[in-house]
Amino acid sequence: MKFLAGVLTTLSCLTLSASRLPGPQTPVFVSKVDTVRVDVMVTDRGQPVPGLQPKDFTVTDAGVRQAVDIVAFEDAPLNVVLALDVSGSVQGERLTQLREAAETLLDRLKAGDTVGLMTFGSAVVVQAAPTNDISRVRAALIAPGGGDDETALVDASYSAMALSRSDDGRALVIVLTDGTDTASFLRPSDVLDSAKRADAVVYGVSSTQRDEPAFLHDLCEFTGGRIVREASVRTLGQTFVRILEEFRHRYVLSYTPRGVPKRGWHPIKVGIVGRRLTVTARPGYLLSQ
Amino acid sequence: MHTRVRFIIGGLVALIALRFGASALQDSSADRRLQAWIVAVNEHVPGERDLAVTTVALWSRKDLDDVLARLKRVLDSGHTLNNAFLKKAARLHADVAIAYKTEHGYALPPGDQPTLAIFDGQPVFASTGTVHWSAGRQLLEWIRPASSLGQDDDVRLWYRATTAFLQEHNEFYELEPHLARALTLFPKDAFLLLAAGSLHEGYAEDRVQHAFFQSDGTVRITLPGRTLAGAVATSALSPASTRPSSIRSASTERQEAERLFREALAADPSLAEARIRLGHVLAARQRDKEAVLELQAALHAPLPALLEYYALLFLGRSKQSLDQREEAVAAFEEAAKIYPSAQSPHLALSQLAGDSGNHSKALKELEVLTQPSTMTRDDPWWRYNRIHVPDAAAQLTRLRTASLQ
Repeated sequence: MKFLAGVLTTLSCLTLSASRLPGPQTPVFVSKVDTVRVDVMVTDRGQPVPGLQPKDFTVTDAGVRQAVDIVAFEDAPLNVVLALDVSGSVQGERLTQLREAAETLLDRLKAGDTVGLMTFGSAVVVQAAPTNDISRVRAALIAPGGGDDETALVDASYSAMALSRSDDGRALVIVLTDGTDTASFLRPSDVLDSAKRADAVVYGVSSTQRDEPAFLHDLCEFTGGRIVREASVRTLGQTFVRILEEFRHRYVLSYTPRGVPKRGWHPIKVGIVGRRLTVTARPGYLLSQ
Repeated sequence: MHTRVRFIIGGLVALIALRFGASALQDSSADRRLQAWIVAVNEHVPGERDLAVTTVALWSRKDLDDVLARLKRVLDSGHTLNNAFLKKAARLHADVAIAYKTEHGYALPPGDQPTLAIFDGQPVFASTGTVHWSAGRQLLEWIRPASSLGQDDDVRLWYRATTAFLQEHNEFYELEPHLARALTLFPKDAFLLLAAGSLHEGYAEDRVQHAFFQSDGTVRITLPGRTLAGAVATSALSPASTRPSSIRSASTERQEAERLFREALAADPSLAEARIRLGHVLAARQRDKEAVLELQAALHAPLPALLEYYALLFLGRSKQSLDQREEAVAAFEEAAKIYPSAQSPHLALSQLAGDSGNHSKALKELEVLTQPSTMTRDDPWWRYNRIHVPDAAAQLTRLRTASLQ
């Protein structure tokens, strides 16, 4: 089965990937082709629920119950890509505060985590390719460029997901934007399809006073993330940290799908045995072949 | 002062004196204004920000209205004005508007067309354009015989060049009356039809639609700050849920764009830009097979690099929609060769590679994003909604160098 959701492949030596340094390997991630990984958040009245075991989860893939092989919690390294909208409406003091918020996030990363920084206006700019050398990302924060009068939200979201992909960690994409897409070439529907194939979890931070972009809402939903509304850029750092901590407290379920179609949309349902807890996970994944 | 200029001034002033009596000339301020305007028209060097331009730019709306009113009184009395002079006057007013265009409007007296600027997908500023565009249109209407107007190549050139400029600056609200009059005069002009189609194509874009409509289709026009909100409230774009009459849903706008592009092609089948834009609109209407036919037809003939790039980008996307992956990749790769630093074809190639499981290729294609400066990473896609081939600058040069008849 040619797997696209959660397939863990080794990246070749590319400019963008060369900066990745090997992080501590955790036994929970096994590079095998036919494995699906699902990031799952389990909460009880808003608080993460620790200590769950594989037997506590039920997972159906295309309606077929699957055996959950691996469960990880907290200790897996993260591959974080921060995509910041620096279009015309994000300038001056707001941009300064944005930098400070990103710094706050960097401060909370652990050894072994990687982080990349992207900015976008019309142009999507990789300010720092994913790396565990945090100082490089800090340096890139000093003068993030790429801003102009438009917002290529869809292009940037795709790029961030692609960059976050790695074979030794969990992919977290945080997209901050204050507006709707005005400049992308990629189509929202195509990028949503890509998201269904990828294993990145996308959190959207929407600072717009108006309704948040429908695309970002859908992207978060399809990847098992969520939209966070942030009215003030002053508290953005706390929001980033909250997202990071929430993501760390998610479980990673892994299973080898059995008895399911080889292509098309695979709806996933994740449940907890015998307890009334809130479960948030991607609704499924897409297989091309 | 040239003899010809003195003659025209003298003639006009004499006309006014004859028609309205000596009292008309005793209105010294208005007379001096009219005389200064005539001098400005005759001494203006097209395209230059010269004394003529700076002088006329300082005048108020009332000053300009007075000049036009006096000219109209001359015409109403049965006299005619020199056609070449009127065309020069229209060219002067276009140059004034162009010279005093600012980021969000004009540093000039306002016109009658309300303008809502859209900045980064948000309606941020309301102004009223400038009277100089309508003044230019009005002056051309006084060419005689009136029946000759629709056959006058100078008038056609003026409308084409100014339309290209207005489109390049997304002056939607000024474009509407501008194109409406232009197409009344020249209904079969392929470029003007192309421009009108582009206007509606632009209206269908998310950045425009989002600025005007909520996601549920209801109208939204909200502006931050009391001053701006007040400005809008006094305009035709009242926030009291008045739907801007000119902008409709994306699907309706694309339908209109398709009609106009087809008319442009009927007028001039070799107008490649109209064919490419038609392909783009058809794809947006989920008619990718038809889009491919149009785009391939456009690519059949040699194209300027910019148009070839657009055609290949759109062809790649339609091929992608039709699940013809290899053809899509080929088209995007060709587009990337034309503008190697442009991100759009590389993003599309990355996505195609990633979706088929080739993640190393997907990352490789994103290397273009590591170049930090937008100055070195121009992507013509970002200008698609503004630019024509030839562009506004080229068309204005033609207007400014024309020997007016």
